[in-house]
Amino acid sequence: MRRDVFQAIADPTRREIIGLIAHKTLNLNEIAENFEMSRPAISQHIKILTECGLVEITQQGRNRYCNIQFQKLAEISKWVEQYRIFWTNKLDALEIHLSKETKST
Amino acid sequence: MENEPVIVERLYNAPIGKVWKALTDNQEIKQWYFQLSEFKPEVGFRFEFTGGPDDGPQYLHLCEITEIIEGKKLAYTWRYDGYPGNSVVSWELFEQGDKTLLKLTHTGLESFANNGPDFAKTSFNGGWNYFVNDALKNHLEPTT
Repeated sequence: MRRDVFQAIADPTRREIIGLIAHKTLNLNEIAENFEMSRPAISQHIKILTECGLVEITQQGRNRYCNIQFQKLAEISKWVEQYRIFWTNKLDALEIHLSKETKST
Repeated sequence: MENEPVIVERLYNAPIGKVWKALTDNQEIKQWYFQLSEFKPEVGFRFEFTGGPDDGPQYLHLCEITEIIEGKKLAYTWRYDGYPGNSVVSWELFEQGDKTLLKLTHTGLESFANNGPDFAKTSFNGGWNYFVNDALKNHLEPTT
């Protein structure tokens, strides 16, 4: 089964979970409180996030805490960065085009 | 987080009308953007083009214009034929004296995440590197 960061962020609930724990380590119940779906459903999403390497679980007493794995998140931003580079280059090309036009008119 | 849009801004030393023409006149579009068989700045107009690395897979890009504010804003959807996901590219122009500020916004990139690592990494990487190199070459060629 496919497990990578791109699968992790393909689902909106999982994106929200990442958003929540990106700022602060939370336990499973604290995460589930933010959603209307059942706790088992949230657990399932967290399981996928764990398998994708985006979340690590640490057990403290009865609670299981979810920690975001920032180095994995970086894979996603690298991918998005490709688009930024692409558009930056297109805007460069437009600049060149506009300056050529000025000279010819 | 990751679903924040990509935003690139650029100030052009050209009047707003001229920049608008470069964005919406197919004769000009061909010179700096993509080879389109036709382009009409009208809501609902669809266009497509192929892009990708020289030696890699080519992706057919499908676009449909969703918003036009004459002389100021152009927005269209941007997706890949045969793959799920959809994004929106918008171009906004702001007059700044005799110069023009262009703001490019690309939202919805996370919707392509479903297409898998091969698509997301290899293909885009290759694809964009192609443009980077291509654009860089263009960048070095003209003399000022």
